[in-house]
Parts: sequence; C-alpha cells; structure tokens
Amino acid sequence: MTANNRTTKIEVPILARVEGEGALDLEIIDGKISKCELRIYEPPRYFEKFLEGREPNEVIDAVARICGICPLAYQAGFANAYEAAFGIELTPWIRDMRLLMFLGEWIESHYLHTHLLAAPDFLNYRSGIEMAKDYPNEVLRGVKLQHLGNEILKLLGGRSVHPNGMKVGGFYRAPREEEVAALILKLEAALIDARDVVEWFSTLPFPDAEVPFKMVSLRHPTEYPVFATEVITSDGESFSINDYDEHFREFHAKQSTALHSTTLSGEPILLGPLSRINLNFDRLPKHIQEMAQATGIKWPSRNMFHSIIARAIEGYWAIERALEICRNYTYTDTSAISYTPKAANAWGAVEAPRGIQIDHVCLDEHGHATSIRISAPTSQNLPCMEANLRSSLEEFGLDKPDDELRLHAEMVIRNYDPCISCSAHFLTLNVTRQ
Amino acid sequence: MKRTLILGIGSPFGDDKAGWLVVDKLKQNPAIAKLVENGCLQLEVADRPGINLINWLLDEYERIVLIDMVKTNLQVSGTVYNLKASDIIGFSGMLSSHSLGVSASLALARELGISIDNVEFWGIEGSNIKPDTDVSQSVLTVIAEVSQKIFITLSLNI
Repeated sequence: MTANNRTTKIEVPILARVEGEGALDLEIIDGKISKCELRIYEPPRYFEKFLEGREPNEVIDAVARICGICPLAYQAGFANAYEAAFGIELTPWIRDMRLLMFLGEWIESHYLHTHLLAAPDFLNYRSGIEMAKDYPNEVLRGVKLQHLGNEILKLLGGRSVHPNGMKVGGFYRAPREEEVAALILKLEAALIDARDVVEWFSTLPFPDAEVPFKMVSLRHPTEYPVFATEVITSDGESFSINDYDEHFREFHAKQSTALHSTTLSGEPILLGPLSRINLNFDRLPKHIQEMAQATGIKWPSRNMFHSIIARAIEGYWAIERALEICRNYTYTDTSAISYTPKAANAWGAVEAPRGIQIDHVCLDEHGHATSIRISAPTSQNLPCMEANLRSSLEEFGLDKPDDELRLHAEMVIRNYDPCISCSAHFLTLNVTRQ
Repeated sequence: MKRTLILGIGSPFGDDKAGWLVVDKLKQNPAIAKLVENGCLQLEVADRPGINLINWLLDEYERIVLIDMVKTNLQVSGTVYNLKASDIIGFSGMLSSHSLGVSASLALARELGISIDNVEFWGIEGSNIKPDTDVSQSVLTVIAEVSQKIFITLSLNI
C-alpha cells in the first residue's frame, strides 16, 4: 500500500482458486489504471509441435493430457476435426454417447467451479473449506453432483481424469446396458439437486456490473450447443467454424505464454456459459427457460457475475439431457465407424465448459498431422479478462486497500473460470502506485 | 465385510512416485492379492485425487490408507511418517479444482461432517520432484519398509 507519489510493489501469493499460474500486474498512476495485465508465465507446453507426425488416435489420446478438468474438450474437438477430414458420418448411437460423455464433463466442471471456487466469493468466504462450515449441505450437494459428472466420464472414458475411451470414429467399447441403467437413478436424484442449486445461487448478492464485449458461441440447429459447426455472435453474425480465422485472430502478447484472441479489429471476444446462454436461450427447453427467468435475472445478461447462474442452469440442462440419453440407451456392437485416412485440412469445435474450443489439423495422405492448432477458450478470453478487470476495478474504487483490490480482481477473474493450465495455481498481484 | 482402501498418490516425477511404488510393492505380495480377490482390500493409485477423495470417504471404507511423498525440508530424504488424518489437515497445499490437495480434501471432508477418523497417512520425505528424473535411492530404499509395515497392520486388522 502506498501513498500518492510513492511506488510500492506488493506481492500476495495466495491460493486464489484459479487454474494455473498467473499474476496480475496492476499499475495505478494518479488514481487511474495505467497498466492492467494478466500475466501468464507458465512455460509453453508445445503440444501443437510434438503432435506433428502423429497418427489420429495418438493425437486423441495425447490431447486428453492437456487438462485434468476438461480433457474431453480437446479429445472431442480433435475427433470432430478428424471425422470431418475423413468424411466419417457418425451413427446416432455414437453421437448420443459423445454428447453424454461431454455432458459429464460439463457437470463435473460446472459444479466443482461453482461450489468450491466461485460461491465463496459471493458469500465472503476465503475458500470452499471455510464456506463448508456454514453451508455443509450445499457444498456436499455440489461435490456429489461433480462426482456424478466424473462417473459419466468414467463410463465412456474408462477413467474420469484423462479418459481414453474415445477414438476417431467413435469409442473403443460400448457400455453394457446395466452400467448405463445404474446411472439413471443417480441422474434422477441429481436433477432435483440441480434445481435446488439454481434456486440457491439465485439468492446470491450480485455486484451490478456490465461488460460490453462481443459474445460468441456455437449454435446447434435444434438444441443447446455442445457440438456444432456454426458460430454466432451477439452482433448477429453467423458463420462456419471453417471461417474462424476470417473473423478472429490469435496473437502473442508479451506478458503471456498463452496466446490471446480478438476480432480482426482487436475487439475482445467473450466465450463461455454467459455467452452460450445469452445467445442460445431459445434452444433451452421451455421449462428450463422458465427456471432461468425465475432466478430474477433478465436474460440476456451482460453481468459477468451472473456466470455462476448460467453454469447452474447449464448443469441442470446437462443432467436432464444425460438422463434422456441414458433412458433411451441400447447396447451396440458398432461403437465405432471404420475409416480411411487421407490428406485433408479440417476444423473441429466444441463448447468446452469455459467456451468454444476450436482445433485445426492439416493431415498428410496417411492421416498423420503435418500441423496442428489448439485454441483453448481461456486464451481466447484473456483480452476480455484484462478489459473487464480494468473497468471493474475502476468502478470498485482504486483507492481501496490492496487486499480489497486483489480480492475483487480475483472475483472478476473467477467469473471466467480460467483454466490457465494444469499445474500449480496461484495469483500474485503486483500493485504499483504512483 | 471390512473393507480397506489403499491409495498411492503421486506422479511420474522423481520421488513423487513414492506412493505409486508402495502400491506396486503391495501388489506383489500374494497375501495382499488374496485380500483384493476376496473384496476386503482395494488398491488404487492417483495423481491428484482432489475431491474424489471425499467420495472415497463417503464410500464407507473401514479404513483408508493414503501414501504420498512429502517435502518438509526438515528431515532427510527417505524419512517415513505415519500420521492420522487429523494430523495433516493443517498442512499447506494447493486449492483449486485442478489440484485440491490431500490435506485440503480432508479438511473439507471434516467441515462437511464426514468422518476422517478412519484415514491414516503414510508420508515419505522426498527431495527430488523434477520431471524426467527417477526416484532417488534414499526413497527407493524405504519403499519395501513402508509396504511391509502397511501389510502388517492389514494383517492385524482384516
């Protein structure tokens, strides 16, 4: 903390409930923010380079290792890209199982984030553990819902962390009917819990703050988007994922080992649950739309703090949709489609828990990768996070003590559920005041 | 039926592999294999059990044995600790969805009213957790000792 005209650098190493190693550098001059950079300093992991030359299913297995929470986003994104490249037409059974597995990832990711990482912010607790003293039933409910997501992942992926059941063209095995049936009772019970979660979160106190960013999500022809090939924006644009580079650009920011993304004109883009629900509200079933309206939030919302509600509503939808798939399940001997590799360029996209995960492959005549691009939602959201931090902190009051600034900054960042990487996690806030 | 869960926690990096190696050693014991076959014992390994540890705690095991490398920098590499869960919940550790540490998971479980009285912790002091390195000799030499001690307690309790 410093008085005016003095400069002090404050480092606050803390378990900040974000994923990965990052630091926020904040410089305040004459009561205004002159620098606000979310610095990602984890070493680059070079996945895109060391996957070159690999055959398709090696890539599918390897990309699961990118993340312990959303491995499927990478696997499914690349599976979609390879299947587009090889002209594979998936059967309804495979499409259903892909969706079921992905819903498992949404469920485990959303309930973990909302209960242990985000909710403590709104209720003024330093951690989920501290909050659990006063809200044991609520936290335990969230933990159990998270575990149900992991069970779905395990059913189709063999294990919940870095699953390996998926391959290009389908799955290595089909679950037995009794395995799927065992999930039905759990999903039915979870649906009741998920409704209670939405109601609970709707009672949280939300800061009043709006973001001006262009919202971007996938658009499915008939239902809420998980897998799709159409991209839509809050400015009314609509285009194919194959044209992603004609609308957005990735670039290197000097303070970050993670690439950033903006529109071609440099405008930040917002991906994730708030964008998804805003742009696809009409794709939610009617009764879930009513549930969302009953929270008191006027949709579409531009308040990033409403992201926790968006996740809870998506969680409910995911459980209900998973239940529908499980109830209609029948065993098949054809859990995968055979294919012939060929040279191609192709895009694949999915709605990862944190937003659009978009992947691109160039393949030789054997289907081996000659180049690979992986665009994770968190890196695409980084310019939004920085802009959001700048406006939120100014609105919050830059004369506030450093600790309060840090806590508010972390809360803003956590709205994005950033998945900076999968190693040690803390946020260091460096504040320089002049 | 009395059920015991033994969970080796670790990673492929140097001494952090210790928990996995103890479980591997236990698997080589025919008497242990028999207990597994009879459903009295479950052997698992994990890299970051995170809050899945809570689900194991909810699974009503008679006893849960956790084995992990620790780095206190207070004792020499290879030092073995045998502690109760309540002894380690104050340990510092990472708290995020990617890495809810063992101590944080146990602390959370306690706050949720889940008993952790049935959990014991075996720690092996390690020194080297760098990628692309193997386990150090000092840790390697106590793997058999720890697995034997766990086996003896199993024999007494099952």
